[in-house]
Amino acid sequence: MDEQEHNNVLDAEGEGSTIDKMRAKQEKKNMKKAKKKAAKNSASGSTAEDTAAKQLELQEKVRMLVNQLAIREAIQPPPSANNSQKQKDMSSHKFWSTQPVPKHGETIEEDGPIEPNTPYDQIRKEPYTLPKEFEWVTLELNNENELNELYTLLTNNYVEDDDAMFRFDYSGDFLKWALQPPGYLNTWHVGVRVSSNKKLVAFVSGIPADIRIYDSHQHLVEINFLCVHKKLRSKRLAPVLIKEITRRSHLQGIFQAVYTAGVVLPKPISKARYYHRSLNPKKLVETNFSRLPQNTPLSRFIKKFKLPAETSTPGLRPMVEEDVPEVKTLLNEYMSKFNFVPVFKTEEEVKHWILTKDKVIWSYVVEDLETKKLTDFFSFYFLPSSVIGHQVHKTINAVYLFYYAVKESEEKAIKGRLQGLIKDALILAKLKNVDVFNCLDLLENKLFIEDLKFGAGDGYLNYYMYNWRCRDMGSEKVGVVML
Amino acid sequence: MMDSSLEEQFTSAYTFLNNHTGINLSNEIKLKLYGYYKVATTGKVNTEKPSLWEIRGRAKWDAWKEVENTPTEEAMQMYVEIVEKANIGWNRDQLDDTTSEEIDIDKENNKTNAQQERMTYVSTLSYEEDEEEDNDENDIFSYAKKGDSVELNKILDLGEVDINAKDNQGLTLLHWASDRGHLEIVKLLIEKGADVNIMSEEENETPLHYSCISEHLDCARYLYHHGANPLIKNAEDSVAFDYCNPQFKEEVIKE
Repeated sequence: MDEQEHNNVLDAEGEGSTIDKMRAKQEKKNMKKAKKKAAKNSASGSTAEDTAAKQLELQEKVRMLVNQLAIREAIQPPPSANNSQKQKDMSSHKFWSTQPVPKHGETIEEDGPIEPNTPYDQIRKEPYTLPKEFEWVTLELNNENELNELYTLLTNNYVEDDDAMFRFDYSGDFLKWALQPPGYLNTWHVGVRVSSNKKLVAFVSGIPADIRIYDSHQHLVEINFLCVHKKLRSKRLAPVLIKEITRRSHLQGIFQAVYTAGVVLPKPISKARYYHRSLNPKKLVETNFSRLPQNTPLSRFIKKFKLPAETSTPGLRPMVEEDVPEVKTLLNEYMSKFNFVPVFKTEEEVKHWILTKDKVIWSYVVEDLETKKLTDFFSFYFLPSSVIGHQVHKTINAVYLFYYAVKESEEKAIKGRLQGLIKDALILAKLKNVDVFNCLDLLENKLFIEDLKFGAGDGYLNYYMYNWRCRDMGSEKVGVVML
Repeated sequence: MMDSSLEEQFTSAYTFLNNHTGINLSNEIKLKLYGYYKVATTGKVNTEKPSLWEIRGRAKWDAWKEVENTPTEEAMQMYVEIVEKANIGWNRDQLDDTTSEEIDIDKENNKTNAQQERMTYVSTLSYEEDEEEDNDENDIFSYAKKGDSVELNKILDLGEVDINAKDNQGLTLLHWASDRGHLEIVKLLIEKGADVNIMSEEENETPLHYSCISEHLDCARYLYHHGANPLIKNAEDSVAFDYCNPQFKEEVIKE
């Protein structure tokens, strides 16, 4: 890293302007990209010159691609046969090869921990060593300033590739919901500051969770929000953060963890795909979140996604606090049919995770009109994305399907019931001015994805366990929804 | 640590790149590096020039050939400097910056690299490559779709096209321009005598239906004030204003 630039970033005074510049630069880039994509969106004819130019462009692209391949090959060790691929795989997962995680291609015969629990007296008591200019901190999220620091770090760095046209826009309330469930520990809100000016430059979180994987019930830690300031990537902070949160988990007697990532690491338990249901098709096309096929009229596209103005499930109403005990039972019963699920042990947990908190999570229950018992419920959480470099649209309002339960046992009945419920969820979301309703293809979501006009996303989510070896599973066997 | 030898620096830089194959260097830089690497380790070009059709072999060979007369030491020096200037986390003063337990942040391609350190990223709707439609199409309808009023006007001026003709989807030029919100083309078509109340096949919708459903206020206003009949019902028995909110309708009607 250029030392000058580096210092600018680390220097609190210069920081604002640097970030602004960085952002401006990125926005420019994205504008260009968006324009390109938009051109693709609308162009349907091309002149002869266009065609020739396109051909040239294509040729150039192929050439560049080929060059890239050639160079990649060139800077690797001489291809000494089969050996090299293996070596590459190993080295590309150098960090993970030191960690208790299953290896790619490993056959798993028996479920169980990979390494035994470390006895307390053998657990390292002092934090791992950071590069000298940094120091560990524990973030206190009840302190508005520190919550804001975290918000700023995540907003500016959580999605950092230049190609990104959207980035998650976590609210303070969302972060508190995500990071302060019952039994949370401050010591698992791990931050790294620059010693000289105290600027927050990295973060990783853990929250306590109870899960069941196959037949094994575990009290463990869910790792999330791993984030390093984009100007400090070369400092190798991420591995230290992972080791540090692991150490702090060990100190609490916890030796297993759950985490998710967009990328493939050794070794996923399951891989889920994102699906998106347009509620505001025109805005999604305008922001290039989705693409209007050039021969499809926009009006037909809009009509396709039109929803009724009102919900249709009789007895559907917003969840209230009194519903918590029944929702807890419904949820845990419904989860019994999957292999990797959360276990809600207390009503406090259900109250925290499921009960409606405006602009964070919305939950609805279905009450049987005769018995007054709850039969079903569903919930979705609100996580908007900023649109980078768009003239008109600044934010896409997105909700994500969270936990739900259906009290039907026969497959066909479940399908019909679930379709009705999720359709109502779409309608309710639309009424809240939500632009897109997202879900993963886990739980029984495949029963409604197609019929309710969800489209496949370009994002995937891989599920992992730390220090636990078990058979992998299809996403329809996964019940854990992580934020 | 300025005392490391040039060879150590070269090896370190080479190893660094080798361990971080996902680092996104420009092809120009990559080719330069390749050329100097070959000179430093092999010397002059000792292979046949690949044929023009072996693009990748040729590019590598050309890069090597270009610098083959560079002395070994200088080639190493150049290599080290390029890697250092590329600003990718390696510099010659930190040869002992051990990274033995580093996470594979910089691996794979650039996109995965970016996705590596964050746990997730914003997914958007994907589309298969084969959904890409025929780009060769450049009839008059394509100009109405993409808003090219100049080309469209040229064709109209030839006088060979029926301005109210429908395409294979049962839509006229005016439907498409109203759907895509190309006001200039809407104006042009109406000036040239396009039927403002023409209905599409099957769904029986007027251009006003299209501009109201697609919420193109300026087009809807123009159509409305140039003879569009807002009482025409489509096959679903709905008039154009049934598809928009009251404010939109108000804006359209307003003088």
